[in-house]
Amino acid sequence: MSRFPASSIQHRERSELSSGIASEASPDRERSEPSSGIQKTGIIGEGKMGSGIFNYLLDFDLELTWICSKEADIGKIQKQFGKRINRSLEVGIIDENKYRSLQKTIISREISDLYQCDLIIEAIPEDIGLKRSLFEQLHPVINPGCIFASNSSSINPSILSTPDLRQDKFIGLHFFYPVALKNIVEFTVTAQTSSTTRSLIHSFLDKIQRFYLTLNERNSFILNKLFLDVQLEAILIVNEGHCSYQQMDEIIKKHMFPFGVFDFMDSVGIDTMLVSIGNYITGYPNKSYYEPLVSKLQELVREGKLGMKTGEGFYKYPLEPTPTNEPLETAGIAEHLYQSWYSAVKRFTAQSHIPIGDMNFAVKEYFGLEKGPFES
Amino acid sequence: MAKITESTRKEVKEIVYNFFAEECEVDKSRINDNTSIIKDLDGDSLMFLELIEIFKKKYNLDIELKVIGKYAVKHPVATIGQLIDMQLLIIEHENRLLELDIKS
Repeated sequence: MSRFPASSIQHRERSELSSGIASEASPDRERSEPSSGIQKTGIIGEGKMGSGIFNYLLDFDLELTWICSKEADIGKIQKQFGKRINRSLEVGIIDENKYRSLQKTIISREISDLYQCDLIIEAIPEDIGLKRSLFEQLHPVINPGCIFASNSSSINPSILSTPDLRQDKFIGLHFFYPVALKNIVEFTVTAQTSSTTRSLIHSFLDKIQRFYLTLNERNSFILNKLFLDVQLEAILIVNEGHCSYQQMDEIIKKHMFPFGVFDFMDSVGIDTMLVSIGNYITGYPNKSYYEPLVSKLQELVREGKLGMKTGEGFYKYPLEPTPTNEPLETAGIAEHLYQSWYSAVKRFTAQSHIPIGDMNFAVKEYFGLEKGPFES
Repeated sequence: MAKITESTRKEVKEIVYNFFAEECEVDKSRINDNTSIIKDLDGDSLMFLELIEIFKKKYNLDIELKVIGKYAVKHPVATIGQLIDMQLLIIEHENRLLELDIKS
């Protein structure tokens, strides 16, 4: 069964035209690009996203190379992978052909093992310096036709590339956590991304059965930016004393999304949230509007309360069930938040020219909703 | 809707215990229903996904990962026993798993 909503494919072309700013690359740069589509794919990073992308891509007809950091226990990762494919064969999840092809998967620490890749997706920590340095190391040793993609959730690809770094093949491919469950990818193109790169990536995303939004850098990370507006509204309401963090999350979970705003931030990591929000609002004229949220996150970072990973953020972990009373204003708070969210969805949809059907599906996937904002 | 018998329950338990013993390289005798998957076994969500695939294949289940994901958000699994219970619910209800929340 197709994972694409019926309307999305027909709308996709229009979506790109309206947000598209592609320029053609010179013919000589195109020569070494994969003629028959992306086959050899590299993933860099063994964190939640890197391992999630790697494991998701295993299900498709691709030759994968997974590069882990020097800190990773590469022996353990290789061993677990071997056990997993053996088990999959034994219980009949995969056949002999697939097993043989998976045995060719390379898991290593050497970026030179990516040499022949058609596409490389980096998923290393959200740090501009680290990511730039990685791409600078990759460029001279990797096949010149290879497309470089960043899975960054807040840094535009043009910030990570330089004029001598194959800019026509430099893009953002933002998968969402958990990769296996979220059928949405934000594909961000720059002013230099070639039409060939776009077309190869569209085919790749179709092949891996992921619905996607094609975005330019002005509209990049649109789903996280949309959520940012809800996060801001939520903290404003808490700061005004209408409810506690926990009460706010309870209201959101009861009336809007399957997860709360503050437990989401704790789960992502307060430091990561702070960096990401800083990146989102860089170009905003009304940066000070986000100050209440930014200053709370800065305070938590100063105190070393980085969320689940440090045992404390907005909440203390492990969470102990503490019953909360519903604030008197629950209905008003829920209605206010919903209206803020809904107007943000409409505003972002209009600004980005994304077709309503596509945005509806993307928002539904991102927030885990049964019904999208544009469904009655 | 499949009926869960005592033998299904035993079989699921056996598969889950064997899976974690092999994957996490611990003696099976050290695993019980109260064992924490993350704290005691250093397990992760990928193992959970693989187990679902194994059960999907074994019992020929019609279940989408998305349905399980939505159910798991409301009913998080921390221990081996909770995982077994969830697998049994998946086998029993398949894609109608979320209807359990509506009924309760």
